[in-house]
Parts: sequence; C-alpha cells; structure tokens
Amino acid sequence: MNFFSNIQIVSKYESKLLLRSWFFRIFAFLSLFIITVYDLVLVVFESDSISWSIKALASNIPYLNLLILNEIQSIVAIFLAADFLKRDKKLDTSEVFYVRPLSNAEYVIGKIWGNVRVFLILNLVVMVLSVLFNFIAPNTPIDWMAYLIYFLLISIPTLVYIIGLSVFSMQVFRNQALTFILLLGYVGFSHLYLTHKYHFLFDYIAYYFPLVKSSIVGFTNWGDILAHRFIYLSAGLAFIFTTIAMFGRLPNSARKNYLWPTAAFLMLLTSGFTAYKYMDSLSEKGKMRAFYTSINNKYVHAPKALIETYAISLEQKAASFNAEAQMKGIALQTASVFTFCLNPGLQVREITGATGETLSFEREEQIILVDLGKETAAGDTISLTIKYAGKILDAFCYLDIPHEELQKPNRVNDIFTSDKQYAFQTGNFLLFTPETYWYPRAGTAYSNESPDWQQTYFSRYKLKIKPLPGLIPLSQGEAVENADGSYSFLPEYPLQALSLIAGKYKQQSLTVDSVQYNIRYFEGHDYYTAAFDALQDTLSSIIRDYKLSMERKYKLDYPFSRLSLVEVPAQFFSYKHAWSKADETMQPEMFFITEKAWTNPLFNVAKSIKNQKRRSSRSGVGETDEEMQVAILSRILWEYSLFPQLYNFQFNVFSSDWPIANKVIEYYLQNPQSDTDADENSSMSAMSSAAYILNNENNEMTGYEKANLLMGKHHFKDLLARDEYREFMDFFIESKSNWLFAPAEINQGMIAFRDSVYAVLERNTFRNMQFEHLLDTLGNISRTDILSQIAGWNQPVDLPAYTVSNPVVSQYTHRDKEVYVMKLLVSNHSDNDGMIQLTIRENKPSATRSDPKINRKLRLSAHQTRQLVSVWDEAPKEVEINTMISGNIPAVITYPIVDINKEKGVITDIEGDYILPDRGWNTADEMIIDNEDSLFSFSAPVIMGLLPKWLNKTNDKAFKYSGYSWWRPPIQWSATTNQAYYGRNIRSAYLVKSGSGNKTATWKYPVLSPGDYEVYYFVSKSNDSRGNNRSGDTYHFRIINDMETEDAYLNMQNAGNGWESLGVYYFHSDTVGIVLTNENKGRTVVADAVKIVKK
Amino acid sequence: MFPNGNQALKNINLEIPTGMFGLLGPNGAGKSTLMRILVALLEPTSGDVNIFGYDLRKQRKEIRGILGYLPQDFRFFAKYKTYEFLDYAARLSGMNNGKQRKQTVDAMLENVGLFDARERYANKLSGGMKRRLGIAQALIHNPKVIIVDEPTTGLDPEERIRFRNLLSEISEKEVIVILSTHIVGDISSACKCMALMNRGEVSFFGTPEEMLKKAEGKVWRIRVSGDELHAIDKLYPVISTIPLGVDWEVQVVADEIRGYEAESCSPNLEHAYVYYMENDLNLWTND
Repeated sequence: MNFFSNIQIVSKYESKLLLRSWFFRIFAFLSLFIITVYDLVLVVFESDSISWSIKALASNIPYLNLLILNEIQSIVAIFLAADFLKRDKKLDTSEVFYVRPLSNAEYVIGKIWGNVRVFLILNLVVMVLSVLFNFIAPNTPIDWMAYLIYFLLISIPTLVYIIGLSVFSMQVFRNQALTFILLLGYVGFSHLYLTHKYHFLFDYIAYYFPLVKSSIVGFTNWGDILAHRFIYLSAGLAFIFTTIAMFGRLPNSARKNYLWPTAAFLMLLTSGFTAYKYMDSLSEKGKMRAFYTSINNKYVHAPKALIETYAISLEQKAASFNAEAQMKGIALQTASVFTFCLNPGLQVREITGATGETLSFEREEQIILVDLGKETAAGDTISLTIKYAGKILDAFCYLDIPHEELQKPNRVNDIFTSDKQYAFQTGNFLLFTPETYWYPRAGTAYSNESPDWQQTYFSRYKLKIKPLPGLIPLSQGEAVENADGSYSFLPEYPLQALSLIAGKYKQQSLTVDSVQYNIRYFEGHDYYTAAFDALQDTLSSIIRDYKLSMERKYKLDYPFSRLSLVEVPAQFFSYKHAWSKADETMQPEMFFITEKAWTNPLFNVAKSIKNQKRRSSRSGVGETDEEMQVAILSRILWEYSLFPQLYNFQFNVFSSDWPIANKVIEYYLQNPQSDTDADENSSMSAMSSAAYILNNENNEMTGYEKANLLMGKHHFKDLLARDEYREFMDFFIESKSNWLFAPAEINQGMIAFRDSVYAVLERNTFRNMQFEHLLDTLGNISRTDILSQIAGWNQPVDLPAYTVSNPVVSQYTHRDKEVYVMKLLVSNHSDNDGMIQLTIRENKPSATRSDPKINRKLRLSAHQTRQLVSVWDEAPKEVEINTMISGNIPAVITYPIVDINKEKGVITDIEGDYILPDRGWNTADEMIIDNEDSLFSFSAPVIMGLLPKWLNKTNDKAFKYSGYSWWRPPIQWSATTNQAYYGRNIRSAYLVKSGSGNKTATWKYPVLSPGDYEVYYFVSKSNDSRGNNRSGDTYHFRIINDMETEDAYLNMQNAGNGWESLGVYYFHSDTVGIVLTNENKGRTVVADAVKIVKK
Repeated sequence: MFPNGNQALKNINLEIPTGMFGLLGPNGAGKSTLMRILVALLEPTSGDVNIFGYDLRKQRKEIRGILGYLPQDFRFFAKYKTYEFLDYAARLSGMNNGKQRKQTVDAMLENVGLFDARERYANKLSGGMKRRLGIAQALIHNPKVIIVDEPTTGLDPEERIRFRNLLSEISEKEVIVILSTHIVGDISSACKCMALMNRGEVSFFGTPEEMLKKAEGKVWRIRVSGDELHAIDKLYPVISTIPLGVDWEVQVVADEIRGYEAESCSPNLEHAYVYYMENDLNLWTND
C-alpha cells in the first residue's frame, strides 16, 4: 500500500460524493449551459461585436471559455471544498475510515484531489465543448496548444489556490458559515475592487491578467505569467499542506512530523518570495525608467549633432542582433564630445571616426558620449560609425508615460487582457519602432525638464538587414533582396526616424497613381480576399478616392511612394505622446494592425458583408455584391486617418519652451472646416454639438468645460506638467490651439488664414520648424500679434463669461418671396475680453462651414453686448454658440429654431453686428434669483451612514457640477449643468431625489415695497423627464412672508418649458422666502431659478 | 483528560487475551474513551498501550492495520451505497486486489445479511442493517483486534442475538474482540474475559465465572408485603420484584440480610454486576 494508491482511493470516493451532490450537478449544468450559449452566440453565430476578437485569435476561444468557467467554479469550489471537513465532523461513520492505516496526508490530499479531480473533469468537458464549437465555427482554426496552456495557466492554479484556501479557512475558523462569508467577501473584494490593481497581484483567477496569446509570437510575458500563476499555485499548496499539518486525527506515527508544516512554510515562503520578486521587478522597471529620464535630463543640453545621413546594417540573431550605424552630419554646437542615445539593452562595441580611427566614448545607460578627439566647430562635418549589439530593453520605451498609465491593463471588449508590447525580438518576429532607439540617434530621449530633446531632424537613411532565414524584413523605402540573403532599403525621402519589422510575411500589392499599396499579412491570415471577391475592378478607384479625399480634407499631399498595411502581433501596443496625436502604430509609409485587427469588429469582413446583405434585402434596396463590398471596405479604410502620414512625417514644429507646440498645429490642421468633414470627423472636434450633447447627456460637465475652469485657475505649463490633469491634456491643447489662431482668423478671414498656414508649411517640408518663428510669420501675414499670446500662456486665463439670449427668427413674405431675419443677442458680462464662435446651420444641405456667414468667430470685449442680425433665404435650422475658452457652462449652447414669427412687409433690418449698451440683469420691477446667486440656499445634508455616503459618492470632486444617472439620482442636493437650465453664463440647477419633503431649496427675495407680486418658476423638462413622466409629478413650493406660509403647487406634466407662474401674492415689506421641497411623486426635483414680477 | 480537567480514565491496567473480551460498565464509565484510545482516535494523557507488541504511541499505523472498529454511534453516512462503503473500507485497509476484494465484500455482505441491500444508499438502511454494515466494515479486512463499542444499543432482541452470535463466532478465531456494553446480557458465555468499569476505573477484571463467584451467597430472595417493599427498596439494591397476590417476592443483593426472612439463591451475571456496582458506589447502603 503506498502513498499514491491511498490518495487515489480517498479521492475516488470523494469524487463520487461530489458528483452525487445536487449542488455540484446544478453548477456543472449551469456552467455548461452558459458556456454553450456564449459559444453559440459568439463563436458559431458571431452575433456580437466581440465575436471577431474571438475568431481572429483562435486561442481566445479556450481563453474565454476557461475564464467564464473559472469565474463560476472559483466560487462554487469554496462551498464544495470546505465541505469535507464539515462532513467528516458531522457524519459519525467517518471515524471508521480514520482508524484505517492511511496517513493524514494521504487522507487530506485524497479528499482535496477528489474535489480538484471533478472540477478538472468539468474543465475538460468544457474544453471538449469549446473544441467542438471551435470546429463548427466557420473559418476558425483550432489552436490546440492554447487549450492546454490556458487549462494549465488559468484552471489549475485557480483551483488549487481557492480549494486550498477554503479548506485552510475551514480548518482555522471551524465554522462553515463564517468561512463562506469571509471567502466570498474576499472573492468579491479581489474581483470587484482590487481587479488589476498592484499589477494584477490579487487577481487569483487571472481574470484581468494579460493572457492574450498571439498566433505569431505566442505569449510575450512568460516571466510574469509564470510568476503570477506560481504565486497562487504555491500559496494553494501551502494552504493544503497546512491543512494536513493541522488535521484533527492522530498521525500514523508518534514522531513529531515536521514534513508538512515545513513543506507548508516553504511553499508559503516561495509564494511570498515570488510575489515579492514579481512586484519588485515591476517597481525596479519604474525606478529604471525614472533613472533613464534623469540621465536624459542630465544631457539634454549637451552638445549634439544633426545627422544628415545614416547607413545602418543589421544582422538578426535568434534573440539579439549585431548592427553598425554609419552617421554623417554637422555639429550643432562647437564641442569635441557629442551626445547620442541608444537603447540601454544594446552594447556599443566600437566607435570609429571618419578615417577609421577608434574614438573613445563613455556610456551612461542609454547615453553615448563620443569624444571626437578634437574640437569641432558648429556647422562642421561630423562622421562616425558605431558598432553595437544586444537585445532591445523595452522598459526604456515611453519614458514620458506615467507609471499608472503603464499599469493600466489593455482590456479588449472587457473580457480579454492583452500584454502591452512595444518591441518584438523573437526568432520568428522582429519589430523596432523609433521609440525603442534601436539605432543611435543624436541627443537624448525623453526629458521631463526641457523639451529641447524633442527637436527632430530629417535624415537620409540607408538600411541593410540580414534577417533570420525565412523572415521578410520591412522598413521605409523599397526592399531590394541581395544575393547574400540580406535586404537593402533606400527610402526616397528624408525621415525623422526609421522603423524595422521582420516576419513571415506574405504580400498583396496594387499600384494606383504611382503609389504602391501593400498588405503585409502573416502566412495563413488572408481571410479577407475571398470576402472581397467582387472588388477586382473597383479596388483601384476605392483606394484612389480614399487617398484623394484624405488629401483634400487636410489640404496636404501624401508624400511617399508606397503605403502598407502591416500586420503585427496581437500584443503590440503604443501610447499617444503629449506632443503628438500620432502614435507608433503609424510609421512613414505604414499602418500597423494587430493580428487580423482582432480588436476591431469591422474587420470581420465576411460577417460584415453578410450583415450588409441582410440589411439590404430587408430594406429592399437591392445592393449588388460589389456595392456591399465597397461599402464595407470604405468603412474599414476610413477607420484609418492619413493625417500623421500627411503631416507628422513631413513636418515638425518645435519649441524649446512648449513641448506641445507640434500638437497645437496638429489640432489646428485637423479641425474640420467643411460640413462633410464634420460628419466624418466628429470625434476630432468634440466641440461640435453632437459630441457636446453626448457628453452632456447626464448633466455632466464636458472635458472642455472642466479644462476651461482649470485654465482659469492654473497657467498652461503647470497644467501640462501635472499628471493629475493628464486626462484633460487634449482639451487644453485643442482649446489653446483654437484660441491662438482665432484673432488671426477674425482679422484675415478663416479661409484666407488657413491657406496661409498651409503655404508656410509647404515651404518647410522635411524640416524642423521653430514654433515661435512660425507664429511670427503667420502673425505678419494676418497682421495679428499671434506670438505675444504665447506669453499669456504663462498665466491663468482670465475667463470671459457670456450671456446668450434665445435667437429670434422672423419670416418676411414680400411678393411671394420669403426672407428670414435672425437676431441674436450676446453679451460678455465679465471684465475680460473674449471671442466666440458662431455657427448657423441652414435647412439646406449644400451649406459649407467655410462660408463666414455660417461659421465665424467674433470678438466680444468686456461688458459688451452685440446684436447679431443675419438675413437668410432659407429658414435657419439651428444656432450654435461656442464660447471657446470661457467661464460658460455649458460652453457650447445650441438653439434649434422652432418658432418663426411671421411678418408682413419689407424687412427693415440690415445684416450686421450691432454693439448695444450694456444690459442690466434685473429691473426695478422684475428680479430673477438663480441657484448661482447668493440669495439661493438649500437645506444642509443630514448626517449619513457610510453606505449611503458611498452610494452617493461622485468621483469627480474637483468640479462643482456633477452628472447623475436618472435611475440613481443623488440623495442630497447636487449641482448639475445643462443648457436647458436657467443661468447667465452658468446654466445650472440643483437636483435631488424626490422624497418626503425634508430637503428644501430656498430663494430669498428682499421686498422693497409692499404690494402684489407674481412669482414664476423656471421649468426645464427636456433633460430630466426620464422617470418623471408619472402622474403626480408636482413640485411643492412654500411661499413664506411675514410669518405666513402659503403652499403653491406646480404640475410639471402640464407645465411648459420656461417661466411658469406660481401665482400672485401680496408681500409685506420684508424678505420673502420661496421654498421648494423634495416632496414629489416624480423621480427628481430640480431647483433652478425664480422670477418675481411686481404687479 | 478532558479540557475541563475531568479525568475520563485513571489507573487502567488491563491485559486482554485473545477471544472475546467484555467491557461492562454504566453509561459514562469511560468505556468509549478507552475504546477510542485503543483505536488511536484519542491520545491518552499518559500511560502505554501495547497491542500485539505494537506500541500505540509510536506504531499507530501498524495497529491501525490490524484493527477493526465499530463506533458507538454509527448512523449517518455520506452518500455511499452499502457495497461502496464496504469497498471503501476494504481498500483503505490495503485490499488492493480488485477481484479478491469484490469477493470478500460480497461474502461479507452475505454474511451480515446485507447482500440484497448492497445497491441501497447506506443512509437509507434500517438501524439494525446499519449496525450490521458497521460490523461488516470492522471485519472486512480480517483484523486481529476487533473493537465494538455498544453494538447492540437500539437493536431489537432478534438482531441483538444475531449480533452476539456473530461476535462469538469471530472470537473463536485467534483474534481479540473487545466488546463494550452497558447491557449485562451482552456479556455472553462466549466472553473468556471481562472487565467492569466504573467512573473511569476498572473495578473488576477476570472471567465471568470469577465475577459470578464473587457474588455467590450475596443474592437473596425475600417475601415481603407491599409496605415492606418500600423499606427494602431503600435498604438494599433490588434486582427484581415479582407480585404474589398481596405479597411480593423480591430479589436483592447484599452481604447479609437483617430483619427479614431471606433465602439465598445462585447469582447470575446481572446479580454480580449489581453487587459490584453496589460495592463500588455504595449506592444502596445507608451508612
């Protein structure tokens, strides 16, 4: 009788019990049912947008299935596993097994193995099921290895850990209910709160842990995966061994048995040590990154050269490479030692000078200080060759991205987590983007002290690469294969940087208008050609259209001779830098797409075409196959903006003071100027009303409004430097960009100024442009002092604030001819000068935004009121006032034109902007008290318990106006904003959940003379009508004057938008209080503004 | 020693020979504790137990290998079928040969009259059947020491007789059968040796005959009236009362009878048990 056979016996009978338990049976049935439904919907019928992420990466099928199963079984296992100890105690017949000659270890392990075994069988059944669905699913390969790997990585450690933890807890607490509560609490806490925090350390199921497997390079984070799973596997074993040691049966031998306590201790130690190493390596990476940045800071102003030509030759090895970079350029400063930067994972072997003489150098991590041996004057030629070798260290990439950002998981469809890989260097794939510094570049990498490092210069490149056998290299320029198996690239244009890719690529090419379009896909990944079978004849024209419309849109020409869509492994990831909207997924001449574009459902082309067919036949449109395929292909093409190819790889705007200079120009160029562009590009200009309304749906402040308020408090540089405002970065830059050029646009005209910008750019292709110089030039052209505005960026903005009245449109009919006059009153009631952008949309589609009558910016000085009069042949449809950088909330106000006054006779109004005298806010007989005024107050919140406090918590503490969800309105008065609310520049109101009437809002009115007054309340129903459409949605007011209280009710269902009367009251000479309570049968009560009019 | 300081057993010194050994004692005498120590479920605070040369403190595995045990409470089963329960027990005792084990299990089920119930879940068996399954599991691996704790509790007379006979049969072989009971009738003539336990101590150790001998001349038959019956009951431990018209015939245990006309009669084991209890506890003396 041996150890294993005893375990086997105990486990066999334990498994029998588990299989006979109804709890387990129901769980197993439910799991299989849920998984079947998931698989049918997602894998077989592809009925959801996430289907593509599963089908494109076949390994995601077992990944998804096992994730779902583990999610359920990790909870069920707690109930079942902890049960055996309880059962042993409860059943008086268990003792007859205790008196058998098996050891405690055999018994406990047997019991646990019996449980684990049944779960494993269930896992196997699930895997068989998913293989079956995988097999049925059309055009989906089966990744057999993935089934095994995910089973070992997800299921085994999770089960061992949770079962170990359960039995251990049961042993310690000796109370099943307590054990369940504690463990379920733990599961909930780790799964709902800790989630990916602390680099997934507490994610025992590996639900958030990056486990996406590429079909090209497999896993890219094996070290982390093994460490993470081992932490839980060994912790689980430690718990099991402790349970054995603590098991309440006399051991077989009287000798003190140290084996299991020792084993448990060792396992716990191993687990803890692995966890420590795992976390330490990450914090070490963080420290190294800070260290690299500090070194960049140290040398950011050190003398550097401008490299004019590069000749790089590189030989790929299995996990490293040897390279030589010949560089010729000119010294930018007079010096003998020049600074270069190279990935710190690469070792410099030798540096030689122009005549082959060895040059001495110093290396400090990434920095190479090359001593030319003699002083070189600024402008003199420099020539040197650096020989180096090694492996790219990817912790060196993205030094500018904050640690928290790097730690964020790369979640896809909220199910899969992919590792973030910036460079690849395996035997079958290689990818180096400029971010890796895979060849020496002049100067330093990212410095957080000076943007000087950013100056990019355009160089001529020559690249020769010898890849590993079977790999095809890609880079900029045409590839020429040499006799020795190496490839040469000679890009036709100067480039800021070079990228290098090598893999088992296949190619499809098409030349249209002398540009070669390529698709570089991995072997076996051509899933799309068959789907686009009807496009043979039209493909060229679709591509031509795409390129031309992109060029038209940005008024820039595509500069290169080829454009390739390059497939890269699933884990490839890039961040957007603060200084550019372009990221590393785009390289000159290239777009990268991760494996079959697995994250983008649009690329499920067969399915998309099928859906299009279904829609077409349902609507009876009767599109041809070709038309449908064209529609799908066009949608895919328009996913990719050519902007970085048109702008970023041709131009560079640089400022020693402003690291975001280039982005300011990018934003300006990307802002749509025609209506057609606006449609395609609404996401780029979120200032457009569609995006505004989207953000404002929940009465929340938009990013622009928050950015405006922050710009009013802090100066621009401060805002850019602070990580806590990173989420508003793009809002700051876009607003500043719009504001910067607005005066020039007003002076010169929007179109004329824009044309000047393009003209200046065109003179500077492939050149570094000084931002300040560019602004000066543009200022001269537009006769505007643009440059001096930059000085103002060092101070907080004095925010202007505007009041906009409802536009009044009148229709004049004269001799059967209709003319419309629109009058709009806008005042700047602040002490600060400002500008606004006015857009009037007509009812005819042909209108373009380039027409200054339709779209223009105008100045509004402090305390200035303007009446804007315009005359139209067609009725205007909508007016949009964008207050740009202002204290207005909402910052964009849109008025749909609904009521048109009919007038007879000839119009007397003349188009133009008229300056009116400053209007007073209140008159002697009429006073409006808004919730923003000091005369408004609301009942103080009562002390709350922790739970309601937590439920009522708003995440955005920095901003006064918070959004709310209509199904969970705030339980205390909360400030919200919406353009339908009343307000001068801040259209806000306080909102509270309806209740018993214990919450009140009060407007106080100081009565100047006794008499009759009519009281009005401002109703805005459009925004919070959801949930308020019940009968009984009636506001209860109390009007208090001279110790008397009168009740007033306002039925919100019958009330219209705007001022609604609450009745006429006699007020004595005193202060009147108008009190609104939260007593209401509707869902919410809104406290906005009251108006009191003397009768 | 219990955590509260109570001592369940003290000064136990027994040498149990092969054959059936009866351990008699009232409830709470410490029988079960002794049994649980013998089957290595409990560890004695002090002292040594030696079973067939194996030291219970050091060689539990060996002892567990030669042990069959039927606990006092044997009612609640995990969801096993009758034969599975037996098979599980057999396998844990080292019967690895599947075919042989199956035969043994079947034979044992036949032996205890459970063959027809073999497919039934053990939990669904009647009280008597559960006991039989209990004895079957204790015997399945031919143990050298069989320890049965109060096996007849709750059984009907027929089942009890069957049980007793089964144990007698087994005790014929070269094994030790330790039978603990509080029912004197269970200590049949098959018991070669017995001990009487009370308050955690052994008050008698020897053969049943020796025990009987100790009670010889101590059992009396007295004829009394109804009123006297109450007086007698207070003076002496009464074993039986038989109504004889207006009078009663009473059997009592005592060294001597004073004041009544008593007739000595030959003792049985029950008389001896009562005699011992009376001596031990002085329950009925008025001193």
